[in-house]
Amino acid sequence: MERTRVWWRRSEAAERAGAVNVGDAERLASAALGALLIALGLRRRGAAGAALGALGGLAAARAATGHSRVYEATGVSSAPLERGAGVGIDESVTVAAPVSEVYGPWAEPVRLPRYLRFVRSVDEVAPGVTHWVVEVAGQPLEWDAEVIEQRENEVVAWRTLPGSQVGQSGSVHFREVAGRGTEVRLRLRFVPPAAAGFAAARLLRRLEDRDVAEELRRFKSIVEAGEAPTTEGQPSAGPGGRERPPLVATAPVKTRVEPRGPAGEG
Amino acid sequence: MMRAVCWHGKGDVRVADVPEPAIVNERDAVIGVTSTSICGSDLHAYDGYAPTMRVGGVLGHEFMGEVVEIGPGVRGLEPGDRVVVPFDVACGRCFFCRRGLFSLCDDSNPASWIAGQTYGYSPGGRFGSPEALGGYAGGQAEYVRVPLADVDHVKVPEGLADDQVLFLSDAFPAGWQAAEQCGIRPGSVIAVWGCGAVGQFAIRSALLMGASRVIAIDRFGPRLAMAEAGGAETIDYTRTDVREALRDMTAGLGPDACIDAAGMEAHGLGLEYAYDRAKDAAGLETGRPTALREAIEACRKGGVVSVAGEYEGSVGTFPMGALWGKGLTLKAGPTHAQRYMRPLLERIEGGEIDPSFVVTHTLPLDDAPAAYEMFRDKTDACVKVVLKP
Ligand SMILES: NC(=O)c1ccc[n+]([C@@H]2O[C@H](COP(=O)([O-])OP(=O)(O)OC[C@H]3O[C@@H](n4cnc5c(N)ncnc54)[C@H](O)[C@@H]3O)[C@@H](O)[C@H]2O)c1
Ligand SMILES: [Zn+2]
Ligand SMILES: [Zn+2]
Repeated sequence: MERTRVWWRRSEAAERAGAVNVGDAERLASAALGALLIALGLRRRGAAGAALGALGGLAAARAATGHSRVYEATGVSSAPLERGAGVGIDESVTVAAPVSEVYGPWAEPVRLPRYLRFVRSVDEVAPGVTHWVVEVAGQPLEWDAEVIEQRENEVVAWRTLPGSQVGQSGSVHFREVAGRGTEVRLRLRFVPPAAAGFAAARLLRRLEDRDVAEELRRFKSIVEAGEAPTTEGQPSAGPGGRERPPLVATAPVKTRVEPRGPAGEG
Repeated sequence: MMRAVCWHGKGDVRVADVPEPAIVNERDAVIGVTSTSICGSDLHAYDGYAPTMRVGGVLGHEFMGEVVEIGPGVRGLEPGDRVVVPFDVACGRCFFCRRGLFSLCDDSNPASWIAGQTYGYSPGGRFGSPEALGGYAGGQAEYVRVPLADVDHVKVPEGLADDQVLFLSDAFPAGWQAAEQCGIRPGSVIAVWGCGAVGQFAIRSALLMGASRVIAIDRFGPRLAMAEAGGAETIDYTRTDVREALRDMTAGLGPDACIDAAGMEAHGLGLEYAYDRAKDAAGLETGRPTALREAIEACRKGGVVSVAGEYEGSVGTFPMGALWGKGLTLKAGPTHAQRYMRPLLERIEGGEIDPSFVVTHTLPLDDAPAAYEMFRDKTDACVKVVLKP
C-alpha cells in the first residue's frame, strides 16, 4: 500500500528549512543516539566500527537538521502541525477486482458504512447531497456533502456544505490496470473550521495516514474476500487481542518500529 | 471452556482452560481438533524469536479434525467433514492468492497494521502466531475457529490415519516446496541442512521428484538415521567439515541445489558461530544463519539455494559474494500449503509416501509443556510430536 502524507500548510520557516519532519523529542533522542554510536564506532576498529560511526553520523545529522531520510522515504512525519493548519491525506490501494465492483460503493456512499469502520451512516438527503455521521475517537462528527464531480468508474469528488461541523473535501480516483486490479486513490483535505468547529478539527488533525490506509485496506478485503479478517472474541488465556486502535487515537501515538523480517510461523 | 496450549513467554507454555471459539465471519468454520503437532516454527516463538507474540495466545498451526460448525458463507464443507487445515490463512481471491502465493495473502491478516509497523509489509495471517502475523488462536486446543474455511481446508478420507495426513497442513508442503524450488532433473544432487520434519519431507520429496542423490546434514543421530531410511546419504556436521565433505562426495562439482531446512536458530561450531551468537544476544541481529551460509558456500556454480527454514529481521555474514559470483538463484519464503495439499494427498492415497514415518511421540495435549521442552532439546530421539486434545 502506498502511503504519502501531505501536510499542506506548514510554517514558512519549516518550508525553507527543507521540511522538518522530525519532532523535538525525537531530535534530542537522535542526537543522543548519534553521539553514542559515534563513540562506539571510534572505540572499535575495522569495518564494524566504521559502520557504527556512519550510523551515528546519520542520526546526528537527523538531529541537527530535523530531517530524516528514513522518514522522508517512508512518508512519515512526526513534526507538530501548526495551530489552525489543515491536514491532507493521500492514500492508495490496489484492489484485485474489476473497476465496476470497486467504484460502486463510492458512487452510492450510503453503502460505505459496510466497508469503512469509521463511517456510521450516510443518508441521501437531497439529490447529490448526503448527510454523514462519522465516528472519530468515540465522538460523532457530522457533515453534509455534495458531489462536485462524478464520472463512472473514474472519479467521485465531494465537498462539505457550509454550516457543517467540519470542512472537508475529497476525491477518489479509480483506474483499472490489466493484470493488477483497480487502483484506488483517495484524497482527503480537512480545512480549518470556524471557531465553533475547533474541537472537531483538533480531532481530525490527529488523523493518521495509516488509519486511513487501514480503512482502505478493510475496503479492499471486503471487496476481494467478502469480509474483513478479525480475531475478535477469540480464545486466549491472556488479556486478549489488541483490536486496531480507534480511527483517531485519543492520545498521540508513536508506534513506528524499524522494519524487520516476518516472524514466527510456517 | 476447553483445554488449550498458551504462550506465556520465552520457554513458558501452559495448558489452560480458555473459552471455546465461535463463528464470527461468514466464511468461518469451527473445527474440533483430533490431532495437532509442534512445529519448528513454534520453537521460534518458544525461544523468544517471534516479536509481537501475545501473552496467553493459543499456539499451534499444524492441526486437523472434524468440522463442528460452519458460517453461512462456507460452501463445500459440512459439519462432520474430516479436514486438515493449512497453517497459513488465505482468502483465495486476492492478487497473491490468485497467483498461488497463498501464504502471502493480502486479506487474511487482521493485524496488518501491526505487521506494517513491525516489518514494513504484511504477510498473510497464521494460526498460533505472533500478532504481526494475525495472532489467530491456534490449533493446539480442543477447538479452533478457521477463518476463510471454504478455501483453507482439505477433506481427508476415513481410510487414512491422522498421522498420515496431519502434515499436509505444513511440514510436508514445506519440504515439497523446498524441493520443487530446486528445479530437480534426473541426476540432480541435492543437499539438505536440517533433518527435522521439514528436512525429512524435503529429502523424500526431492527423491520423488527424481533427484539421484540427496545428502542430509544434521548432528542428531536418530534424525540422520531417519534421513538414511528415507534414502539420503548423511553428514554429521559435528564430525566432518560440511563444505569439504560435500565437495568430496560430489567429486568437486558441488550439489546442484541446497535446501536450508534449519532456519534462523541454526546451530554451529567454531568462531563464526560464536560471533553470530554474540551479535544475536546483543540484539544486533535476529538469528544465526549458519546453515544458510554453508548452503550458499557449498552450492555448485549456477545452482539453487532454497530456503524453507524461517528467518526474521537481518542476518549478518551473509556470503553475498558467493551468491553473486556463482550466479546462484535464491528462493525463500513461507509455504503456500493450499497449493500442495490436494496433490500431496493423492500421493499419500496412491501409496507413494506415508508421512507418518516422521512421528516419534504421541502425547496428550496436557503434556504440551514437557513436549515443547523435549522437542526443543531434541531429547528422546524426538523428531515430531503429535498432541491429542
Ligand atoms: N517454509 C515454511 O513455511 C516452514 C514450514 C515449517 C517450518 N519451517 C521452518 O523450517 C525450519 C525447520 O522446521 P522443523 O519443524 O523441521 O524444526 P526442527 O527444529 O525439528 O529441525 C531443525 C533441524 O535443523 C538442525 N540444524 C540446526 N543447525 C544446523 C546446521 N548448522 N546444519 C544442519 N542442520 C542444522 C537441527 O539439529 C534440527 O534437527 C524452522 O526454521 C521452521 O520455522 C518453515
Ligand atoms: Zn510450521
Ligand atoms: Zn488472499
